[in-house]
Amino acid sequence: MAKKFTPSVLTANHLLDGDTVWWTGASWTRDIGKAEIVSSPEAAAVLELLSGDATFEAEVVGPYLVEIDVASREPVVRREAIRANRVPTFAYIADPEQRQAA
Amino acid sequence: MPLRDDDGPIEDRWTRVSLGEALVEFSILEFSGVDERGEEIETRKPSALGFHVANDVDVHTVVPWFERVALISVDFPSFADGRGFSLGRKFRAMGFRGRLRATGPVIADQYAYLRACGFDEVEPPERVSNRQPEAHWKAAAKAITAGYQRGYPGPSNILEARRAARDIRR
Amino acid sequence: MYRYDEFDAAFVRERSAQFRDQVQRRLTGALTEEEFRPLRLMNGLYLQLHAYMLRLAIPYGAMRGEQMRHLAMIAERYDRGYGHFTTRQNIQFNWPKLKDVPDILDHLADVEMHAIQSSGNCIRNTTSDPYAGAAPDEIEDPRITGEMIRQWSSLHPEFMFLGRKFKIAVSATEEDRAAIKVHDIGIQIVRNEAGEAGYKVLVGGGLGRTPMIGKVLREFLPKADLLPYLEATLRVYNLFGRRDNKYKARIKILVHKLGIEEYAARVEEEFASLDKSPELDADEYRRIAAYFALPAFKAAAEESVLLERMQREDAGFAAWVKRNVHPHRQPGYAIATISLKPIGGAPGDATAEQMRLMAAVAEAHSLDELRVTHEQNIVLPHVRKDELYLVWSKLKSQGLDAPNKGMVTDIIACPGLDYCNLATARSIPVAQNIAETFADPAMQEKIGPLSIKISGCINACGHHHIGHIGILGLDKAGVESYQITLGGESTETAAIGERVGPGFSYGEVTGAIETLIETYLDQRETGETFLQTYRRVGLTAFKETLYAAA
Ligand code: SF4
Repeated sequence: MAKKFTPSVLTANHLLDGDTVWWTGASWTRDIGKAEIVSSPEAAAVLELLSGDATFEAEVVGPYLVEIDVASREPVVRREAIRANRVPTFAYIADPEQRQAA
Repeated sequence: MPLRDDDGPIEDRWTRVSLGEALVEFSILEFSGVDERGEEIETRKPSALGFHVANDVDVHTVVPWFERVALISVDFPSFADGRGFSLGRKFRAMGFRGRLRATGPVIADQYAYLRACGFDEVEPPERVSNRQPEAHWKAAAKAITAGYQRGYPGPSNILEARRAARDIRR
Repeated sequence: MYRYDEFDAAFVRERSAQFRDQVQRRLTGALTEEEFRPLRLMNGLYLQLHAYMLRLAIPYGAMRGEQMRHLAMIAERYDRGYGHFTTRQNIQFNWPKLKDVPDILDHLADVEMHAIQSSGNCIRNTTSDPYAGAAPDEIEDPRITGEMIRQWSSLHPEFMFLGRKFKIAVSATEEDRAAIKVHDIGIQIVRNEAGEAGYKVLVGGGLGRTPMIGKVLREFLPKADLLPYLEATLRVYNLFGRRDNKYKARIKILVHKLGIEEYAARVEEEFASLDKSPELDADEYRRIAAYFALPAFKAAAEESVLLERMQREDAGFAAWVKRNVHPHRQPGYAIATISLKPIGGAPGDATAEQMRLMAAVAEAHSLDELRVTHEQNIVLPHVRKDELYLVWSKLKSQGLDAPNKGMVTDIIACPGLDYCNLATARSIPVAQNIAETFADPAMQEKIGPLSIKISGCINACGHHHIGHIGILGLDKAGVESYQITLGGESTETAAIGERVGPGFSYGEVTGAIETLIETYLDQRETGETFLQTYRRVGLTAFKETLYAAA
């Protein structure tokens, strides 16, 4: 039996600043909440094909699909959950601005 | 495929001839198939014969041919596979005086290294060279004007320059 | 300390201009990401989980105050106000932007620094003894050789596209503080029977997926032959090392496959065929050596009355002196280690303020020298004993006074899944949990010297194989699982740790370490360290208690 398809989003890192980004269907966003969720293997295949495109390479690095839990919009795998959070899991030394804000 | 050296793009008068095809003037043969050619190549004049070698070739098997070929083309299966640099260096160290060509998807940024390892020319595939206009090769070749390695030809050598400066002071 | 001459200065300038141009070509599409990636890696630029990461080279771990202060500036201006000192005596910044990196490289060139070959499949930054030039037991300063190798390996035309990364370490003492046995090439400065200094060369050590201890390639190599000999060694590797599988591409695999005799024979054959000009290398060696002449130490008595008194008066200071201060070659001086392992901190991290403080302390009290250690700490190599109390007080103002060098809380941890793209599990929070468990100074004192090393994946950047206790974080079906090894060691009696058994979950691993340490405390004989007890009683005793509880 084929593995059941898990809804996914397309992620990458932004070429210029390295930030983690997600594909909304039209552009790249820094908010996973705005990512386009693909729900079928076919749609995923189309997205993967698209991700090899030169226009993608001009903007981001290394796009790949990430499985997510649709309800919470959280990635299923820990690595991706940490990535989606955009910071380490422990209280790291943030930049002065962030420390002041905290 | 496009060929270039220090002067920019050059015309390739050589033809790659696979096993079974008849030799022409300026043939590049697969070195691995040389034995099968037998006498046919024994009689060729050296100035019109070249070999293409894989980058895991046993250098010692090529040495006996050094005087009988005018060109050796070394395969670079990917630009990240750097065996060819050592191979070029070894061919030169062991006495090859003919043309040394790097064949494969090497990039402009590697040109200076290739020259320093004894190569004269590069033949990248179209898909690579189309992205890399002549200006890029020219610029990359002189991006670093002096190196630290003794005995590797290059624009200039830092150790020699230091020695010269020391000698003047003495 | 070495200072750049006009040629070195021009070289790093050109290198940073070259990178600026490469970035530009990546942006225009002239270079694909596949092509650009190795180019950026050779300039220390990785793409990590959240962002780019820039690793700078700190050759043989040595820096001047001005350079450290510059790192602080870069941390603030281009990053998030901190940096991470690594097990390879470098520093990395976790949040730089690609567009800023060429500017950062220019700033580095201003203070005679660079990021050349701090990553990529090329010869990496050469590491050495952090006590170089200060240690009482060294034959000569290993940094001279380190600098020779730095220059020789910089943009070496033949060796920029090796099968895999290549690491060289140099040590000049019997006590090995540079872990030379677990490097691709380990160089020990030794004397031959005639009393001349030369090199003992080891090859094929390394950690990672297949940890191995280096084997002797040459018992004694005359100094002037070093560079041609390295060239021969690298060429044999470049030509014959595997390229088809990145996990089998390190030199250790080739040495293992051919056998050390065959490898040595090929190197000697290659070496014999090389055109050598030992005079030139010897001249160059002398030129570099002049920069490493002994600094102008002040004459002083070996014992310091002030130091003795302050130790009696201030228990905190006494604890720090006991653990973090090491004897110096010069009477009246000491080597002091600044621990970057405060309880609750991320191992090896320092803020910009802390960097500036360390720079200022080095300038005022350590003849303007700092060293980064492979234990992710900072060393002040030349401190007058009379000034130790002052140094400690200053360090204390920024929380840099942890008295735990070599102790259970001086944990080495790679960035792991909190930052690293390749990670399979977290390592920093594990280190933090363990350090908090053993935070009590009395407890640490009771346990004595113990090195815990943690890696977040099989690549072993946290050197877990050579920790007395090693922890390797893996991923078991989506769950972090930590494998424990015991008995590893990095010094002259280097050993690869043995696996105790099945792994532990994130929640269990701290408890497992506690059990191991309790077992040691139960089993030890008077005066034994963890490692000594382990070597005496063996794996089974630890295994039994560890898994009995489960
Ligand atoms: S050991 Fe693995 S997780 Fe840790 S820094 Fe190295 S590659 Fe990353």
